[in-house]
Amino acid sequence: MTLSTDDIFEDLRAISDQLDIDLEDVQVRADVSLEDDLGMDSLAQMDFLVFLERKYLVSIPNDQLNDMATIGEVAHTVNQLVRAKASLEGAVA
Amino acid sequence: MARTAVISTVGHYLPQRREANDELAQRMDTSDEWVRTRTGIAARARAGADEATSDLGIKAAQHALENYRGPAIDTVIVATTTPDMKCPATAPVVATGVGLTGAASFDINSACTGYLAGLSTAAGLIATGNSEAVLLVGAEKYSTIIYEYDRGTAPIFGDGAAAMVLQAGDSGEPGAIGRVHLGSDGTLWDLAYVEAGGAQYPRRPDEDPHAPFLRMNGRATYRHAVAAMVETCRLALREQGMTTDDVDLLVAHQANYRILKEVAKELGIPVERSVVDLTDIGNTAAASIPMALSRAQQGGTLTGKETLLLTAFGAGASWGATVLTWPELTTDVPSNGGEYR
Repeated sequence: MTLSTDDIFEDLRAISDQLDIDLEDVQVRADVSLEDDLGMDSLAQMDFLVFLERKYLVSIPNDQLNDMATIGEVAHTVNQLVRAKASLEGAVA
Repeated sequence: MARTAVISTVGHYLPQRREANDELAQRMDTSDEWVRTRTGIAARARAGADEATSDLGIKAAQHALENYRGPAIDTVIVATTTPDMKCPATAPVVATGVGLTGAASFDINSACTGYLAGLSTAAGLIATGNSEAVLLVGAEKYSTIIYEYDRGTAPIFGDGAAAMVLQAGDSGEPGAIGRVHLGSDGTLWDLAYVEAGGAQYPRRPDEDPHAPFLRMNGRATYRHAVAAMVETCRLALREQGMTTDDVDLLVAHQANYRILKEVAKELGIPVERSVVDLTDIGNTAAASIPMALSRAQQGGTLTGKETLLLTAFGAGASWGATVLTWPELTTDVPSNGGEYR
């Protein structure tokens, strides 16, 4: 499974009410910034990342929390974590 | 019943000036609505140029002392992240400022957990007979470590001070301090820090303009703050054989409305049983819990016998929680012209 920018946008859309963000006029692009383009503060960003952690059953390490300024970077990091988890599970099986 | 520290009086002081969200919006890309909905803060208290942390602490202590009728205070503890100077401590200045020259006095730097660390220290001093009565002050002038263009911290922190006197009493009395669960994790030092000016990174002429001011890693701080406060609260309750149903009021460090809401939600405490006291003053760091207690006492929310769950998380990282029964306190009208805003 590889998550695309579209997938991450769909996830964001799913909790946009809870995060109080308006995605109406936002173009689906990898370089959309969570803070500058979507107006999300650090708490809303963390709420979104926790939502992704729970949905994709991964845990984002502390030192990677700040590597995700854009939707594309979020997709990249979550993909890396999902792949690392799958490879670990494969090794154990 | 064992000898322990018992809360005898509380007080607080807030400087007059408030910096409103609209003022912030004049120098950074933000708005009243954006800040208010995300932090729950409409304005933050700002001390004047002529008001140092000790001045705030002295006024809060005077408020607490107005109603104090117990044994002589022999110890003064000031919990602060923003001392008047690096050396000496602010506590001796506060002690002398309220006529307690000669008392043992020292500062505690545990950032926003400072008040709970002070409470634990005061309780230990009294329980061991090293003290009969302690003046515990949380005092902060965070505006001195805020980088004015930082959207992550400038809207959050306010200046102010709160104080309480704890005197020797019995562990079964209302107001008695029991176990204060404290913890820390130095691997998380960079959640919130002021880099320049200490022994690790002395000031340099070519330093980043943000270096002498607070930096906060908002995402990680939020995650760890909620997790640590919830876990420590559960520990404190479990040790008392209590559940959240036994808690009348959750008084958490007033970091941010959404953190308060999240901690209450995770604990299963309805938000109306969680004290929210930052809308007009901001997050006053080490002063925030005693500030909320003093203002709740003054405003009539606390009348005595309430079971309170106190919890905090701060830089360090540091955290703590304790359970106590609020005492019935004397609530004389402040005598100095309503200065205890």
